[in-house]
Amino acid sequence: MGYLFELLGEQSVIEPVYQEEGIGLRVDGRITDLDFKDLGGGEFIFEVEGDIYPVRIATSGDSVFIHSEGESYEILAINSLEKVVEEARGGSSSDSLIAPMPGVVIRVEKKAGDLVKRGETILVIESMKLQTVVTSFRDGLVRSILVEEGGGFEKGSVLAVLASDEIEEDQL
Amino acid sequence: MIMFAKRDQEAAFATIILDGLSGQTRRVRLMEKVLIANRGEIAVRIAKTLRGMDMKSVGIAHEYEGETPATRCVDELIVLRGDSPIAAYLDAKQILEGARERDVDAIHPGYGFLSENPNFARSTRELGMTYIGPSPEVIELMGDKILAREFVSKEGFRISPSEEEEEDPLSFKERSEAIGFPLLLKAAAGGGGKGMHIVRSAKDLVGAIELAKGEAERYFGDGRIYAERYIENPRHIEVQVMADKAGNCLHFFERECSIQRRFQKIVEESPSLALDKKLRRKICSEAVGIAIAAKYENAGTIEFILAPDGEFYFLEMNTRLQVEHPVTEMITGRDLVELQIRIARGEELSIAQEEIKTKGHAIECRVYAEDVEHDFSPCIGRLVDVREPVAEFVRFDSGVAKGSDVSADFDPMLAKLIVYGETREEAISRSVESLKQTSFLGVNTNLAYLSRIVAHPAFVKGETDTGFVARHKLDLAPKELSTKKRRMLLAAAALSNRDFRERVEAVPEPYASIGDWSN
Repeated sequence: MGYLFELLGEQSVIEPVYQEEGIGLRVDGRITDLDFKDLGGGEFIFEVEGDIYPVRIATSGDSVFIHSEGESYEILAINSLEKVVEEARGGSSSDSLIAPMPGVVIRVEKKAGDLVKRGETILVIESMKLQTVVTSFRDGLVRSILVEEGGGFEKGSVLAVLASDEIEEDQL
Repeated sequence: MIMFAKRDQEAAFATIILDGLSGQTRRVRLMEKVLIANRGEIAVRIAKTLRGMDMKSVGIAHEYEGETPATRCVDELIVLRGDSPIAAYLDAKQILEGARERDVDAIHPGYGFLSENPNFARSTRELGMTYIGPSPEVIELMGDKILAREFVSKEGFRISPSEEEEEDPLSFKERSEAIGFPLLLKAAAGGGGKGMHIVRSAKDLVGAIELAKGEAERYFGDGRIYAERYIENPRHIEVQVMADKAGNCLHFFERECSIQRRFQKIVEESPSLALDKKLRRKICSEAVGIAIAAKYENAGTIEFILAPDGEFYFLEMNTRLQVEHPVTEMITGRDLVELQIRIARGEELSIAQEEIKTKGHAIECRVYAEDVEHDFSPCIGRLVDVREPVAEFVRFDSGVAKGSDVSADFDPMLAKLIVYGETREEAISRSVESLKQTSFLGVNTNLAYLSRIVAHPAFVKGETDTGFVARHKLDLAPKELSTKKRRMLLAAAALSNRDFRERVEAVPEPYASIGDWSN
C-alpha cells in the first residue's frame, strides 16, 4: 500500500506502518521516526529523528508545497502504487504490464502460456526498496514474460504481455 | 502645510496658500485625480502616496487579468481591451482615451511600459493633462544611448574614454594606447558581443586591430572600429536626482546596484561601501550637473560605472522612477513619489541640499518568480500561499497575493523586500532573516538564492561588482538536501495529501494518529 511522491526530480515510496504506538511512515523503505504539531494556518513543527523543522505547507491538487528553513519545495503526489500500475496498463486497450518505476525483478511466478485469473500474481518487483506484486488485470493467457528474476528494468518497461482476446478465445 | 484655497474657474489651476501665517500664495496645476499607467507593485506603491495626498487614483488592468492588489487599491479602474495584456499596457491611445473619459488631471507612468516613451509624455500634455515626469525632449535625448553619451561628453562630463579609428587611422594605435590597457576594441556598428576584443597589452594591439576590423567587416559589413577603456568588474553606482521647473536640482545620494543576473539588478543598497565622503560628493555633484545641463525636470537617475581605481563614467540616465527607489526613501525619509507629484503640479523644491541627510543603511532584494538553477528562466503558477515578512524595519512592496496567477504575460518580479538597519551589518542580518520568513508557495522563486547572496562572505565584506553572481556561482547554488530532511519533506507531503490521509485514517484509532493532525 505504498504511495509514490516526487521531490526534486526523484521519486520515493511512502507507506503507512501500523505500530502499537500509532502509525509510522516508511519512507524509501526506511521506517521514519516522526512526530509533528499543527500550529494552525498551515504552520507545523515536524520532528524527524530528533531534528526539529518548522514548516509551512500549502496544497494544490496533487502538489504539496512546503517552505522550510528559507527554501521552498514542491512535492508531487504521483499516486498509490497500485493505482500507478493500473494506469500504466493503460486500461483494457493494452495487453502490456508496464513498470511504474525503475526496479529489479524479485520473482517470476508465471511463464508464457500459463492461464491466469484476474488478480493473480504474475511477478514480484522491487522498486525503491519496496516489493510490489504485479497481478493480472484480467483473466487470460500469459503470452510472454519479458524480464527474468534478478534482472533490472526502467520506468515504462514492458514486464509482461497478456494474449489478446481473439487469441485467447482460440486457445481456450 | 499646503492648502488649496481657490479653484480657478477657467483653467485647471488653483491658488494654494504656501504659508498659512504669511499668506504667501502660488498658482499650481490642479491635481485631484491621477491615472497610474502601470500595474503590480509600483501601481500599489503610487496609489498609496496618492491616497496620503488626498487625491483620487485611477488604475488600469487588462480584461483578462483578475483582481490584483493593484486593482483593489485604486479608487477607479479602467479595463483595457486588446489581444494581449502586455500590448494593452503599451496602448497609449486607449489609456489616454480612458484618462480623458474619467476626467483625469495627471498621469503617473511608473517604470517600464510607457514610462520612457516621449510620445506618450507629449500626448498626455497635448490633451491638457499633466505628465508626472520629465519633458518629452529629455526623454528622447536620454533614450538614445549614443546621443546621451555624446551630450554628456560635450557638456564636459566623464564618459569612458574612447577613440575612433575613422578619425585618423594612422594615429589610431597611438591614440588607443593613450587610453590605457586593458582596452576594448568594438565594431562601430556592433552589438551582442560580436566583434569585441579585449586587449591587455601594447604588443597585442596591432594584431587585435586587424582582427577586429576584419570581424566588423564580416559581421556588420562596416569595418569602422573604436577603442574604449575596458573596465573589469565595475560597480554599478547610480544617483537619484530630483529637479523642479524653476531649475532647482537636488540629489538624494547614491544606490549601488552591482548585484545583477542576466544584466538585471537583483540586490540594491544605499549607501555604497565603495564611496568615501569625497568620492560621494564628486559623483553626486556630477549627476546634478548632468541633470541641470539637460534642463531636467522631475525624478531621474544617472547611472555610472565605477572602476576599481575609483574612476567613474557616465553610463546612462533613466528618465523615470526606478524600481529600487525605496532604498533611497528608507535612508533619506523622503517620499519620492510625493516629490514627483509636487514638482509636476508646479511646486518648487522647498528643501536645500544640506537638508537631505541619510540615516542608516537599506538593502532591497527583488523577488522573482524564476528558476535559479535553469538560467533564471521565468516561472509561472498560481500562488497558493503567500507570507510577507512583518517587522518595523521591513518594507515589502508586493504586486501579488494569495490566489494570484503568475503568468508569462508580464515581468516575473513579484515583490521587493526593503530592509533597514542602523549599520550595513544589521541590514544584512535583518535581510537574511526576513527573506527566510517570506514565502510564495505555488511557484518557484529566487528567495533562497537572494538570502545566499546577502549572507555570502564576499557580500558581507562589500566585495560587490557586476561579476559577483558569476564569480560565486558555486557558493550560490542550492545546497544538496540531506536524506533526513528529504524524509521529513516527503512525510509532511504524504500527510498533507488527502488521498494518503484518507487511506491512513480509514484505520481505526489508536493507529490512525500521528502527531495532532487536524483536518
